[in-house]
Amino acid sequence: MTSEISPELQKYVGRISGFIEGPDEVNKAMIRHWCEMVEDANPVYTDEVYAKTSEYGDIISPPMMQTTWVYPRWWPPVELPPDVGPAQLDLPLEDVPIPAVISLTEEYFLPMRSGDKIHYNTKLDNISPRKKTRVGAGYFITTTNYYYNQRDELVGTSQYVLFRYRI
Amino acid sequence: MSLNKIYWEDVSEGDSIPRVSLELTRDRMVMIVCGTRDIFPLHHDDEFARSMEYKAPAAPIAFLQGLLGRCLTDWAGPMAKIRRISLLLDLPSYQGDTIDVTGKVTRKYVDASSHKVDCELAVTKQDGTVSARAQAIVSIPIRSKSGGKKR
Repeated sequence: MTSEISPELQKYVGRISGFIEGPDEVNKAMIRHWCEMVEDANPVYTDEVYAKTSEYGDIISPPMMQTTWVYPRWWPPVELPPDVGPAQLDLPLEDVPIPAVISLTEEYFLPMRSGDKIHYNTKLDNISPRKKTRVGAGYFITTTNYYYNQRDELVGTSQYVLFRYRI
Repeated sequence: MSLNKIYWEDVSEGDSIPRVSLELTRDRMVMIVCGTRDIFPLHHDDEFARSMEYKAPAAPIAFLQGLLGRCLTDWAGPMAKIRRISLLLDLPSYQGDTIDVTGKVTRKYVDASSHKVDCELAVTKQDGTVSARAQAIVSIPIRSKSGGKKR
């Protein structure tokens, strides 16, 4: 039998953070920077003439960019109150400092068009009992980000499985 | 620009998805920071990466997602829609590595909303080691609704 997690950790399971707003609207310049990075020539991302004739009517973002649209700006520093956003899900796990992403599953429901504004929140889905693995002992933590546009339509999700461990 | 367009009717289970390949040069690592906005120093700072016990800066997962997405739509064409990409990570992709993505179609089906295929993809390095394994679901246009030529 596996042991249960502590009541202190259990409190976090199911918790949902407040919303974080991305700093920029979905825009053609940042889409181009993404496409340059992986040399993606899909014309719905980069060719305005083609994109206008497509079912989208304009350039769309690669769906894989949903995380990029909500990254905090680099400057000036973003100062969130401690009770807002990802910090709300900071687990009291100082004894297992090393995070490793084990898997990531993204689903894409709606296109993100030039001009859309994306915001997201995060749900803490699960914390495993403490486990010993090849690399060390720790917890498998599952969280899901939910990405919405300015009409509060769900455009996609990212589910992370993270192993928080110590060597 | 040559655009590979395929229709769902033309796809068979077992079809292979052509390889895409990119070398993670130092310039590419800089482009990845610009493209993803992920400026965490593990992705661009040699010393920081070594202090984290990585042998060199490592590309973020978003880079792999971008390359997988490109591999899928290079093959399926611009009107295909990526519905889901699931990644299981094995080894970091280091600066200096050459990253390949290859794949194949594992299932072809129709569900309530569209004509779909499931794909399995592998992200490998120049020495053949597996960096990540991925599964994807893609909706692909059918001839009758796509405006393509009817037979």
